[in-house]
Amino acid sequence: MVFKKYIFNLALLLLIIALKASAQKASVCGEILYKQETNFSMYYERNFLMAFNNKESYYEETNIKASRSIVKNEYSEDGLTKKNLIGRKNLTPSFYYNNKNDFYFMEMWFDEPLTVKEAQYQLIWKLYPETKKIGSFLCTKATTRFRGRDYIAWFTNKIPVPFGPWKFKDLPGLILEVYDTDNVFHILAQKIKITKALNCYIDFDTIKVNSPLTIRTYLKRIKELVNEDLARISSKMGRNKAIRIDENCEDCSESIELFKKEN
Amino acid sequence: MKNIFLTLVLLLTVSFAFAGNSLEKFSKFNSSEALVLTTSIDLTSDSIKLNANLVIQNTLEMKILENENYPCRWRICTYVNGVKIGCTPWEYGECLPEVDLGTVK
Repeated sequence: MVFKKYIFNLALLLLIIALKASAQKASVCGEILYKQETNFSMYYERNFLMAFNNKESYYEETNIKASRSIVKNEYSEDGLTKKNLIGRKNLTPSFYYNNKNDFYFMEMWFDEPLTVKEAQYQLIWKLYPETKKIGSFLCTKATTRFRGRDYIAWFTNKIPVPFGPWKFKDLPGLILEVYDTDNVFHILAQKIKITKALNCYIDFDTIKVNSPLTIRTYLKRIKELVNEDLARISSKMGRNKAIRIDENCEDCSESIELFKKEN
Repeated sequence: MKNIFLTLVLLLTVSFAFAGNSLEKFSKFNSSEALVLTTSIDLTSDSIKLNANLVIQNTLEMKILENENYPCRWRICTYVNGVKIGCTPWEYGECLPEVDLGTVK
């Protein structure tokens, strides 16, 4: 009698475990290689690898090469512009991390890593019936406005996660391509690897985002770094007074995010 | 007759003076910024009059650009990841020496 009761309890336990396991939904896990291009007064290209699951995405710079700063002379009717192209010795990759609640990113400026916690932002997308294929994925068109620029994105419902490259997010499927209407910023998926598993983890260490800057302090720090570099140049030129960036010049800066024209 | 001869000598002298100095400098400007010299001689009266009008059609900025003491207008623009971050104001002055600015701190 006791033995029968023992068998019954064991069978019940096994049944509960089996039911629980089957109730666990397999998670989408993936890795996408993106090419990120900017095309302002000069063309520039970077590569990023994005790992994601149902809960978070981690977009990390890849194929980084060390480079030396160089100066190129450009003559125009306005005069001589010395283009000071900043190189890179610190090969720590830049990244963008999104866990649906918080968004962090780190960009390298003058070999100094600047980590930022973005204030909560939600992109308001307008969806269109137009579709196109990117690789084997049928993608749907969506548009949004973010920090002074209008963007067109193509996302796939086949991978139903709200993630995308750079700061793009909040669509019903993964974003495979996105570009702005002025054609200065373009990101396109190059390779896609998707799997389904009960658990897949993103290899992201939260130490990386300790004591982050705000966007405001980040922009301020960038200006400081540019002026520090100009002070270095001034001293090399043997000048007593340091030269600084012109705050009121209209053709003096290019930026993907136009904070002055926000929304 | 003597007067007419003297007038011609004077005219030639004035013309050479402008051609040899000022005109050569200003000839660096394009046509819209040219210096125009018009002269005329009035021989009807007893004394000879020389009328000369100078029209300088350029700007102060152009003169500064041509000034031998300040031959260059320049600025430095900083680029990170192919994106222009900021530029110094335009400066007039001596041409920048070829300084190696390229070493990262």
